[in-house]
Amino acid sequence: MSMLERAKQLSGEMSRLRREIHQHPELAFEEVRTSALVAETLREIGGIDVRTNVGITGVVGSIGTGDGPTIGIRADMDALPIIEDSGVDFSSTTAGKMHACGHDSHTAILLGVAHLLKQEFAKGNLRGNVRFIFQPAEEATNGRHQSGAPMMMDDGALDGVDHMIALHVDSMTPVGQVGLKKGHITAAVDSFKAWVRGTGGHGAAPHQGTDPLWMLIPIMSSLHSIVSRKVNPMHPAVVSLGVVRGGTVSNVIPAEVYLEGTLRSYDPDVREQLIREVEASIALSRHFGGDYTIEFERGYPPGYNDPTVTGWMEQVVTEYIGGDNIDRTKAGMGAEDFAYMQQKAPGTMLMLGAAVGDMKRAHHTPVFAIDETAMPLGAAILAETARRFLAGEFKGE
Amino acid sequence: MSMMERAQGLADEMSRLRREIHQHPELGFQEVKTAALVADTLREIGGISIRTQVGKTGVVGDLGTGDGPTIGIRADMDALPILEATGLAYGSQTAGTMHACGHDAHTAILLGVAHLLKQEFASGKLKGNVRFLFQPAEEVGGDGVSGAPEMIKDGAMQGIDHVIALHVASDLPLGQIMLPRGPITAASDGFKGWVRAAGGHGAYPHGGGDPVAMTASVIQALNAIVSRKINPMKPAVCSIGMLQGGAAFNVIPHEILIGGTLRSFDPEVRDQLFEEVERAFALATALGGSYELELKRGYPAGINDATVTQWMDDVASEFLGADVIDRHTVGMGGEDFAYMQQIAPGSMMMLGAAVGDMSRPHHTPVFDIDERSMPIGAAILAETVRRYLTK
Repeated sequence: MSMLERAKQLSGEMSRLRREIHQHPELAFEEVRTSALVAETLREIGGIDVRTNVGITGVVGSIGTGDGPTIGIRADMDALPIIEDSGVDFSSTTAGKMHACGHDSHTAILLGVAHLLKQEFAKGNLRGNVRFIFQPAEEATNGRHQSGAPMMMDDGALDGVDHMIALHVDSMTPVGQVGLKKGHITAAVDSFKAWVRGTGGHGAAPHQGTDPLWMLIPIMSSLHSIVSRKVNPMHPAVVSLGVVRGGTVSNVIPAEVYLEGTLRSYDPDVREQLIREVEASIALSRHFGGDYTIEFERGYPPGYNDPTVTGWMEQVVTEYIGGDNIDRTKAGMGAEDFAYMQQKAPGTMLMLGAAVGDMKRAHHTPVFAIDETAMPLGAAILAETARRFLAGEFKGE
Repeated sequence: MSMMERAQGLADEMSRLRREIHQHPELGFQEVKTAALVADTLREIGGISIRTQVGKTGVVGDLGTGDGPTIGIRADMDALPILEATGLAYGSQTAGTMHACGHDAHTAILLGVAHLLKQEFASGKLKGNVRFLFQPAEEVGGDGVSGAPEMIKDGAMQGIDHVIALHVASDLPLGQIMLPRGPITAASDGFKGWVRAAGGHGAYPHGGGDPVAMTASVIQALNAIVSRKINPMKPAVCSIGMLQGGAAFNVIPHEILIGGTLRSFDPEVRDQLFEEVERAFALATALGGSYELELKRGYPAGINDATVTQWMDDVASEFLGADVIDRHTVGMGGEDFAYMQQIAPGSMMMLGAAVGDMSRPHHTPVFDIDERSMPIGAAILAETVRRYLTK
């Protein structure tokens, strides 16, 4: 029986697990119930060494022969602060929290993969190890500005792992289609907070002070010209303001204006250039007699799908759904903290089509929903990629 | 003897031809002497059917068995309005005109290729045809029609299955080449817009509309098109190159001219740039003035066909080694070879030709190339054709 057929036999079990998690969503680093369910399920499967509280609420399961190479498979577990309005009968029972990005299905799929690979190791044909990495907090950072992936890595979750694979469901792509691109797939994401200051004063007497709102005109013009005038057009980049705040009443010129923005890039040089240019733009305030403070926070690195590992997974996907159903170009300026793991262990992330029929269930919205029939396909792709890797069946690229 | 060795044997002849052309540079659609030299040389080689005045001053040479596939090889012939300052013994004899982009070398290389392929056809092992396309006026794009579409109009591309070409690169070391697949040059369009308002006395701005103030908003909008409106995954450029208006310090002018260039690869982005430029100029209307806008479509994006690029890549890898081929670097420059690639899938490579003594950028008075690049280029073009047409 093929891996895909065996995965389909597990679809009832994966669906049950996914719905259990969906009904009890937990936010970043609060995945206590979810991680308990994960650890319990791994123990039931048996033969898996289970470590809990890895990266606060993460769970790591290890299975294998001890010697040989090690491949890691990652699923994230956290939900979002959204009031669910999807209409499914297993909706969130925690008001204001919702699995609106499919991490419930990622977790359930990876538990299905653990089932499948346990059976494979029992056959004795594999040499090497699989690490099941159930990660907290993909959607948010903690007080140390760290999301789940680097927190787990600090706790050694990737030590000894040679390659990493993962998938993400895609609610806007039909079941049976996937995105699998070599090279960059997600952007480096950094952010800034800036305070532009003048003296402020009476609105009727602007000449007596310095006006930070007026200084914003050249500053914003300059910020919005960074990408169009300063960055090599062959390198993707974004500078977007998300917050502009200042003032309280109509006749008082405020002393301070507050700005927040996000920076996106792929190329490391462009990433540094954006940080330099944003500061140069904010520093225009000094030219107009004001002053500024700026803080940058470095976020996720760019996600890079290793060509070799991507080529392996592509062989498996092609056998299951045909090469025509693979979008090899899909990339954007979004961010994914799986990128940290890819930096340490060359790997790849698959975008798994999981759209329900109406195609109106966008990620991070209250109506988000997926078609669960995508889950066995995702589990089979991950499990078969790991199996062939450990059976030495992949030749070169 | 390998094609590379045979091309090396022609090095002096190609050098002689290149220097002859370099001394007598001619601007776009004025390549009369150059075209005559090309036609004469093709006749001397023999066995080549020659058509002149194709696309005004272009020359087409046909060689082959009549049946089978046909591959075109293109070289451009025009010079630039630049005063040469290289100090070369064979410097331009026409003051103010200079081969500052290496088209002299392209023409000489293609004549070398004609020599090489004539010999190949004589061996009787090839089936098919090769067309030598000596094109005028590559440099006039953005301001009138360039040479490639003029030659196409005169039938130069009829019956051609594939087309290949090279361009020397004065900033790429000798022995290296650039040969990416997919987009290699950008669609290159232009705009000229006039922002108009009443104007008036500088002391009485309230009396009429001020196109200078309106222009400030238009420029802001133009500069934000790429950063705010275009998908960041799709390369695009909107650059203002001309800004003209006013004649006296105390007169608010009634008109400001803003001109610029638009670059893109994706056809939808190309159309979007046009729409957004129009919207930016329309700010003048919102501010109480008016505008007039001329949008001019220039070269399309040049796409290197994957299959043909692989053929050239295989040949270049054998001659130079696979690790001296840059398969990634692409820029927003425009090339009217793109028109030919639209008709027949084909590929253009950048041929390393840096002299190495100093920076000698294209389109500058000190531009120069290392002529030792010429046999390398000729060998790669000729060998790609030979393999394609080998029975």
